[in-house]
Amino acid sequence: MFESIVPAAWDGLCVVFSWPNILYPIAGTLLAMLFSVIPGLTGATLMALAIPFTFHWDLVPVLLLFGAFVGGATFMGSITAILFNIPGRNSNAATLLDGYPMAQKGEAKTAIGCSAAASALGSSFGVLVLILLIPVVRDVILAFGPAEILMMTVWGFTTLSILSRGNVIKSLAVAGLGLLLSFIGHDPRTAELRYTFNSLYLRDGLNLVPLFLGFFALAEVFNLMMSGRATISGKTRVEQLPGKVWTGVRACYRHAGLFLRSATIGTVVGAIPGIGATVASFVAYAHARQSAGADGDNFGKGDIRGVLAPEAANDAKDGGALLPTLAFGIPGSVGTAMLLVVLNLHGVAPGREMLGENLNVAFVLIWAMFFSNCLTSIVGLGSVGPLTRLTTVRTDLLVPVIFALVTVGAYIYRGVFADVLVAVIFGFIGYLMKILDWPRIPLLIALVLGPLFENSLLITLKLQQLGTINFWSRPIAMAMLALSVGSLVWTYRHTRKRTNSEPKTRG
Amino acid sequence: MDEQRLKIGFTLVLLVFVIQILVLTLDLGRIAALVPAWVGLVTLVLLLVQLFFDFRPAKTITARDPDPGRFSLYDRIKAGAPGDAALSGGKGAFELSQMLRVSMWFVLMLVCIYLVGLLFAVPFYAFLYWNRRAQKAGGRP
Repeated sequence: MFESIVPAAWDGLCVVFSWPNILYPIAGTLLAMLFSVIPGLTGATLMALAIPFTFHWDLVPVLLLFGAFVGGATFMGSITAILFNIPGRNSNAATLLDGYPMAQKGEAKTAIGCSAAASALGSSFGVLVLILLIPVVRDVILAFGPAEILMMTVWGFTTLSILSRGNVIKSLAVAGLGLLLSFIGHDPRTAELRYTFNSLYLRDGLNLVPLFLGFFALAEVFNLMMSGRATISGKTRVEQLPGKVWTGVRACYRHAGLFLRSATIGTVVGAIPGIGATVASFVAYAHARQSAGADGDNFGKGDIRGVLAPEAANDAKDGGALLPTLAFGIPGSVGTAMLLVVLNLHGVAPGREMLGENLNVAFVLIWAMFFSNCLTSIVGLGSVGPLTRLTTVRTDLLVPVIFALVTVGAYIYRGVFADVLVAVIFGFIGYLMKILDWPRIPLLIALVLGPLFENSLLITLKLQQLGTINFWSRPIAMAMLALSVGSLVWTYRHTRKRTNSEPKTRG
Repeated sequence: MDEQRLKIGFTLVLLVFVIQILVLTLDLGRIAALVPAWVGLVTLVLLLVQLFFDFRPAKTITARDPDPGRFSLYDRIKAGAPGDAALSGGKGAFELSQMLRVSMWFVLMLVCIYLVGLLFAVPFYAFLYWNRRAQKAGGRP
């Protein structure tokens, strides 16, 4: 199989970098970047809009353009997350947890530099894994059943104890509330309506886009208006900002181990259909916090590792998401679902044929996506200067702009006024939680992992009951269970050690 | 507003929400109610414990917790980027009226969107906000 991969990869590379083909991924990347600056709009929306225009095109330009759409939209959401606390996409919500505090400290340049480098390298990692796994893709993906997904969510939940920062009760209570909110809407098995309060809007559950926008961006607008802060960074001139782009870029090498682990998390999660980038970035963030050791308390206050991990996972997931798409025709994300529609419209069937005779076509798509990911990072690095200038603009001028961006982002996603209302309500709740010292991250993690947890738990229990699977004999599930137990033990020991040493050092 | 009262009030609101969810769970079928019921019960217990802590007198600053900002609501509201206090002239003391004033801007935006649509509401709101701020700053744009 590998003998056929190398020539196909080379053929695909030659197609992408030939004239005028190269123009398609460049145009696609720039379009996706411009489009994804508006919160709530994603690469998938752009793809949906572009389908009618490209219907009569040849296959290669279409693959180049749509591959670029998938790759180009990923990075830009992190820029608004870092600068204004506005997650461009749900998956960027993990980046703002440390990216925005870095901008507040005047280190926006460092954060954007790190985000750009982590994105480009994460994407490269994802593509590399994708190429290496093509021969064994079937076995790899089929190894992940409901039991493995369940244990992955359990591992995600165990990290909540790490993110509690000593306030375990509040943290767990918030996680419980997040889970309860995630249950709103149709029950996935019985289709019974739960907690909709007779509202038509709540039947599909709470939409994460307005919720995230409100919970962070509007809460921050509220905070800016209440605190009377002059500028986001606390500085009025760009020269006063201490951050440096190359410090951020170098962070990927300084924390190479974390980068590799986060990119692996992103690729694995991306390859499992139906989980999504948001889970990948939050699990990677939680892992970064957990593996930080004694200095992990800086997380949430502007730690560069809190930017590096979610960004690496977020971009590495693109490569992983292409695995089930190309191998089985099962989309790993919304973007790849749109890609599948485009492939079908142009008469290309994913599966054995795609990874056999049409392998060079698959590589055109892979390289276009990879090129697009790298191009966004280069453009992002090039525009760091003017972008960070925004953190020195008076907040009086910024508040209505951020407010407008958030409301447009919340509204435009589905064109429903209630989404704006949800954003405002959660903005207010987010602000209260912030000033009353309630942790906000557990709520987000629980909201993201909740439906996945409930669904996989009930399926696993049923399969175990029917004797279809034996949970205790599944090696990946057991490995993840060990990881979860290890996480809890590590946290307990770490907390005890810190509690014991505090009176001596502080007192 | 008293910090402790605000804390208790917030926890109570969360508690009422969870109780409401648990009451609604009673009407659900067995499968649909299984996980939410467990999660709801655990959350209820945790919130009750938190409410107990909230009712305790405000914690004083000790050697183990030397960060006064951790316990002062006013400091947390004022807290922002380093150097904020100097830039904002030490403003930012928490007042209920201030919170209501800020909330009104949010409500105004919602009303604008509802009445005239997003396209017109956004520029109108921005103009109104900047105009008001300029007036407060003595004509500075």
